[in-house]
Amino acid sequence: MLIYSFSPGIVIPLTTFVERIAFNMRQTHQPCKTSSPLTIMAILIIFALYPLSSSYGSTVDLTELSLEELMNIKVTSVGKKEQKLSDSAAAIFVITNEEIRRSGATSIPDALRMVPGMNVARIDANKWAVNSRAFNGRFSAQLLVMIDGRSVYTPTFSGVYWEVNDLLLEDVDRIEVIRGPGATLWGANAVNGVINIITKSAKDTQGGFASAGTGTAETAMAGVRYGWAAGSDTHLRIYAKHDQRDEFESVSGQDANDDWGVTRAGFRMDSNMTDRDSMTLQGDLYSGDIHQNLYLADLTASPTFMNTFAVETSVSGGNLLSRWKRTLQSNSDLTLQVYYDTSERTEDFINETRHNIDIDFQHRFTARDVHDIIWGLRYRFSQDDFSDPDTVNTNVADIYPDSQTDHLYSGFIQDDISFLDNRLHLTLGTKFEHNDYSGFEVQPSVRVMWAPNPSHRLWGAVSRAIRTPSRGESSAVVTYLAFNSGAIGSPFPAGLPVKVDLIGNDDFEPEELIAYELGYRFIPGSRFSLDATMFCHDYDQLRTGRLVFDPVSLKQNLILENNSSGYVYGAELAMSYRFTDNFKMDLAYAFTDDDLEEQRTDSIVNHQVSLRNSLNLSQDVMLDVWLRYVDDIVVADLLSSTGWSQVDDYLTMDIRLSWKMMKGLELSLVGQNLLQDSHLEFIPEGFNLPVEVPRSVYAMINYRF
Amino acid sequence: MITDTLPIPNKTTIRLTVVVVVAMTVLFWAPGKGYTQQAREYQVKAAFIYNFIKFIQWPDTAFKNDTDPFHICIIGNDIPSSQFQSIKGKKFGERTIEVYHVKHGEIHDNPNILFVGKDISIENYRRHMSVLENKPVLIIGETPDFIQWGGVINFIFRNERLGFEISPKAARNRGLTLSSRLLKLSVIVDKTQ
Repeated sequence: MLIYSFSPGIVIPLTTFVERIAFNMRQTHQPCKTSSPLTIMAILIIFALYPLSSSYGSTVDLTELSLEELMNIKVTSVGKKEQKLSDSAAAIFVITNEEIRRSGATSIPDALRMVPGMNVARIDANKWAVNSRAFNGRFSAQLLVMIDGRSVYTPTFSGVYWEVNDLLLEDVDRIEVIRGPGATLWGANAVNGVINIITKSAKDTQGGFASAGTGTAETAMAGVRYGWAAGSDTHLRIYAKHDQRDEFESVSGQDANDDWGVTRAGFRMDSNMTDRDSMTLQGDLYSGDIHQNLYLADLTASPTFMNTFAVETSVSGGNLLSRWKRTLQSNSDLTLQVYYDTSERTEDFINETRHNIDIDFQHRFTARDVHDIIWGLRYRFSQDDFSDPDTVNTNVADIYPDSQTDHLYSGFIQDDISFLDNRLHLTLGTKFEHNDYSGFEVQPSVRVMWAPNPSHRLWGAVSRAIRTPSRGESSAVVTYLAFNSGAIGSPFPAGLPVKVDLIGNDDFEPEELIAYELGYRFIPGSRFSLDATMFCHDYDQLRTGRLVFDPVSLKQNLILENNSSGYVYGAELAMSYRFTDNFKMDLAYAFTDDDLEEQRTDSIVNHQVSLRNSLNLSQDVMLDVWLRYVDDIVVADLLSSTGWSQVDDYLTMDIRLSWKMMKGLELSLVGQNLLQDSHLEFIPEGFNLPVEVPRSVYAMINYRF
Repeated sequence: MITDTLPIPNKTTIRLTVVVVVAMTVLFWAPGKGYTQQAREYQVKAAFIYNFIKFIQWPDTAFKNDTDPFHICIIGNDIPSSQFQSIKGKKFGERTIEVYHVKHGEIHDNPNILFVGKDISIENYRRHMSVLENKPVLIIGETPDFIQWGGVINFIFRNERLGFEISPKAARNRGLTLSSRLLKLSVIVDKTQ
C-alpha cells in the first residue's frame, strides 16, 4: 500500500466530502420524531378525499348543438401550456420509457449514460458517481435529483444515495436531464444539472405487469405492478420490487464484499376530481441491506494503521406525496404539492435518521397574450438525528450537534415573454432563497430562444446557481486516514499512528457558478435531429481541503475551505437518425476541459461517446447494441502517494436482444460491459478500495396482463 | 452560519404546516364564478368534430364501401378520450362513428379524421404524417402553429371560448370539400387561393 505524504500548506484535492458521518453519543437528548409524519399524512389523506364529494355533471348533449352554439360555450382547459422539448432554452435531454427498456439498464444511473455530458461511473456493485459536466464523485454535490417533484438530494453530505433511489423502471414515463444550472426554478444545488425522474400517471399503468430476471451480476430481479380504475376519473396502481445484486471484485482480484439487496413497494393515485382539479397521491417504502468493505483508520493496526472493515448497512425509508392542481381559467393554474420523506441508514459505525417536509406552491398564468408567468413559494423542513449508538465504535466520524433542524424558505418568479409571433422567447427569472447555512441567496437567469423557422432553434442563457454547504461540511469531524509516523520524517519515532482528520468548517461558503450557454437544434424532419450545446461555467469558492501540517503532532487536520475557482468549458452533441422504420442510431458526444486556479482533480472526462443502435429484426424481435467510450480521468485518491490516481479510458458494449413470444409476454437477454472481463470506472475519494465493473449477462421475462 | 442553539421547532412547525395547508385548501377550494356554465374542453371539441363531419365532404375513395365506419383517430396522451364517448357510435347514414386513441406506436388503418393533441411535437407529427401524405384525412389540431404544420383545421381559444382556423388549401390537397357555412364561421388562414 502507498502511504500518503505531504508538505506544509499543500492544498489537497478533494472533490467530495464526507462519505460516512458517525456520531459520538455525547448527548442523550431524543428529539421528537413521531407526531410530525402522522399529522402530515392525515392532512394528505384529507386532501385526497375531500374533493371527491363534489363533482360536475353535464346534462346537455353537446352534439345536439350547432357550431354557432358551440362557439359560445365557455370552456375550461384541462392542460396547462406545456413547453415542447425543442423549444426550451436549456441543454435538455429526455430519456423515454422505451429508451430505458431498450438500453437494458437496470438502474437509473446506468440509463443516464446515454445523455451527452452526463458523467456516470460505477464505483462498486452498490455505488455510483453521477454528475453533469464536471466534478464527478460518489457525492456529486452540484446535481439536483428529483423523483416526481420530490428532491432526493441529501443535505447530510450534498449528493444522492443512488442505491436507494430506485423505481420500477417499467413505470417511469421519462427522465428529463437538464445540464447546467436550473436554480431559478428548482433552487440551490441545481448547479451542474437537474434530473427529473417522472413516473407515469396511474391512468397509463392500468392492468398487470410482472417481471422476473436473473444474471451474473443481477442475482435476482423481480417486480410486479397492478393498476385499476376506481370510477371513470380515478386511477390507482400498486407495485412491489426486489433486487438482489452480487458482489464485484476489487482491482487486486479479491471479492469486494459489496453485494446488496433492496425491496420496495409503493402506490400512486391520480384523480380528475372535477373538470378543473386533479390530484396525485403517491408513496413508497423501501428497505435493504448493503454490504461493503470500508478501509478506515485503525490506530491499533500497526504498522499501516489502516484496516478493512466488512460493514453491513441497513437502509430504509419512505415518502408520501400529494399534488393538487387546479385550473382557474384556460390560461391560469395553481399547483400545491406537499410531501413527507424519511430515511434511515444504519452503517454499524454511523446511524442517521432524517425527516423532510416540503411544501411547494406554484401559480402559472398568461398575461396580455405574450407573458407566460410562473411564480411560487416553497418551505422545506429537514431534521436529522445521528444520536443512535454505533455498534462498531471506530471513532471515524463525529457530527455536532447530534440532531439539527434546518429550514429553507424560497420563492421564485419567471416570465416567459414571446415576440415575433412566438418565434422569439425571452425568459427572465429569479429565485430568492434563505437557508440556515449561508443565509439569503439570489439565483437569477436570463434565457433567449429564437426559432427562425420550424426546423431551427437557437438559444442562449446566462444563469447563476449556488451549492449550499452541507451539514457534514459545516459540522463534522471525520478521521480520513492514518499512517505510520515513519513515513513523513517527523520527530516521532517510526511506528506511531498519525491520523488525518477532516474538519468541518462552519464558515464554509456556498460554491458559486455563473454559467454561459449557447445551443442549437436542427430538426429538419421526423428522421433526423441534432442538438448541440456549448457552455462555459465560471465557478467561484469551490471546495478545497487544506492540510495544516503540524510536525510535532500525531493528529493532522485537513480543513475545508473555498479556495478554488476557475472555468470548466465544453461542448455536447446529441444526434439521432432513423435510417429506416426499423433502424435508428443515437449518438451522444461530449467534450469537457477545465482551467481551474487551484489544482483540483475533478474527474473531468475530456471525451465521452455513447452510440446506441436500435434494430427491429422483425415485428417481434429487437436488437440493441450500445457502445460507450469514456476518456481517462484523474480522481482524488488520498490513499495514493500523490493524492490522486488515474483511471484509464475504456470502451465497452452492451447488447440486448428481446423477443415478444406472444401477446403480453416478452423475453430479453442482456449482456453488459462485454468488451473486457472487467474495467475500473472510478476510485472513491477514501473509505473504499477501488472495485472493477465486471462483464455480466442477465435474462429477463416480462408479462403484461 | 450554524449555531448550536438552533431550536428544534417540532410542534410549532407542524402546527404552522397544518394551518398553512388547511388555509390553502379552504382558499383555493371556493368554487369560481360561473363554474357550472362551463363545459369540459374535450366534450366541446368532440361536438365540434361531430359538426365538422356534417359540413365536410370526403371523396368516395376515403371509404371501402357505403357501410364502412367513420374512423376518428386521436393521437396525444393528454387527450381524455373518455370525453369523446358522446359521439362514439353516432350514425351518419349507414356509417357509424368509431373513435380510437393511439397512445403509443403508429397510426394503423386509415382514419378519416386525425385529431392531434397539443402534446404532440412537430417531429412526432411529421413522423405520423409520412404515412398519411395527401390522403383524404381531415387533420385537426390544437397547437398554435398547426396550420403551418400542414393541418386542415386548428382549434383556437378566444375569450375562453373555442373557435377554429381552416386552411382551404390543405383541405383541397387532401380532396376534402368544405361547405361555405363552415368557412363562414372559421378564421381562414391561407386566403391566397
